Amino acid sequence: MGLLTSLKDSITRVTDGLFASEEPKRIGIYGPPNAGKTTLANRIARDWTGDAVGPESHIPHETRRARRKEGVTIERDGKEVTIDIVDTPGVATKVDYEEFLEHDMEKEDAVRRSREATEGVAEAMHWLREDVDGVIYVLDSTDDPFTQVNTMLIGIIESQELPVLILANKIDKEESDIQRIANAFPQHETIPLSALEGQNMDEVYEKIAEYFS
Amino acid sequence: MPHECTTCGRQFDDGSKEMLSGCPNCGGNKFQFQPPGRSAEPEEPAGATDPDDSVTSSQPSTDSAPSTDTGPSTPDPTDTAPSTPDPTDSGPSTPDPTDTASTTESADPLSDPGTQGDLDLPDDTAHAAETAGDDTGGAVDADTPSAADADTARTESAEERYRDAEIDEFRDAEVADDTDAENSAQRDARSAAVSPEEIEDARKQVADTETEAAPDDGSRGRGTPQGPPAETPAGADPEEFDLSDTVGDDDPVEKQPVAGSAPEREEPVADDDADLSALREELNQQFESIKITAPGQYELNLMELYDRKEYIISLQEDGRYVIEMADDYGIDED
Repeated sequence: MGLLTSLKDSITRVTDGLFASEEPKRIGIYGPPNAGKTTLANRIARDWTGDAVGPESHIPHETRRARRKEGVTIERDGKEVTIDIVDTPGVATKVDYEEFLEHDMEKEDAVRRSREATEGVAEAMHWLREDVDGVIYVLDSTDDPFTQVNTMLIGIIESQELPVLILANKIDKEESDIQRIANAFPQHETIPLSALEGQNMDEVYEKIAEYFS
Repeated sequence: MPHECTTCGRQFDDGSKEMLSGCPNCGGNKFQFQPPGRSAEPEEPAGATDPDDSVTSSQPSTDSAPSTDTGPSTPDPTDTAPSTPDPTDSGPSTPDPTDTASTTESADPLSDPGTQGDLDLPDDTAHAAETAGDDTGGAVDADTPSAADADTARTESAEERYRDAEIDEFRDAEVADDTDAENSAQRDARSAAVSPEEIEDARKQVADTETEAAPDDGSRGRGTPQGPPAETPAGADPEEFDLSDTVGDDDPVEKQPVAGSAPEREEPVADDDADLSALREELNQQFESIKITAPGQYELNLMELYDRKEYIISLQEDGRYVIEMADDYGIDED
């Protein structure tokens, strides 16, 4: 329960000023494919609006168009922050239809999915440049975070001076290694969670309020 | 004009940025990339038939050779005088006659540089040598009279192939001298030359030459048939005519119009893998943010994608691409 206690402490540290936002900030949920971005977006949306954002899947590149959920108001200790959540397609440097064939997909569908995913990445990059005020960067904590995509995206986000929250997702899995992610991006705070199981969502909401208000 | 709007058919120069915010005419955002060299109807490559021709033409002659020995019949005709030397010729100094033959056949002077000579040389040589060896015995090869017999037999096919008598005259002298030396050389060459792969390669090269030569205004036409025959064997140097290079490096040629303006045209790139990969390469050079490595396989240049302010281009496998204007970007909203 130490975690919860510290959560509460953190929450109480948050001042009124942090929550006093004028316009909803547009927060992009970014990360590599299959990191759990849509699962997170859905959990946030369900928790605060009752609706989902989009379908989740274990097949990579399920999200091939950016999806937005507007006006998600998150309340912490009587305070609230309103954000627009943008769930973006997973960013990759390579998209290969053969990857989808492993998931019992017909070749034709796999090729189409591949093309759509590629366009989705282009779109995600476009949004990163033009239209987001902050980033929630989701990583699968069972995977090696030292990848070209992660390094490049975090670099871009930093160069844009966007507030970024790094989430180490899938902590419900045994192979999860939160420290590896923390080590990869020591300049940022890493928040562990399981979007699927809802673990540690309190801290996530607290940090969202803190970072993006 | 390698780019064409698939909606209204308007064409754009290679590298033009005009259409990057949509077609100025109709606002369409779908385009077909049409590299100049490949827009031409892929002609039936002359080189593809040539080797076969020479094969069939010399093989029958093989059969008829013995028959001529016993009773001269077919080969005799009057034209033997001018063309008799030719067949002999076709044995030793093959490239010349075959080349002339192929040039006349293909009726496309630009496309016949040395490539065909390259191709035909070993082919013919092999057959000529076979002819001599099989019918008359190895020893006879060097024997001029018997060789002459075979020659007369071959005149039959020769008369079809060598319509250019003038060139033949040139070779008369050489032939006689070359015969002996050539025969042994031929035998050496026979084993190594004309593998099926080589024929295929040569065909491909010739086919490429065909499509490239037309728009290129003969720039590739060195070693043209007008050149002296003696030049041809030299021109047959495979390195000199390694056209795979030229295909890959070929810069788009402005003057080649996209034949017709049918927006749905895809065939130029559809059937040739080599063409397709060259096409992809050209596309990727221009729009390197997304690289198609194979249909359904992409490599993305994230920085390039990020840097693009107003537009993002999506490529499709068949050379088409879609330009998505910034305005088009919409987020699916609940």
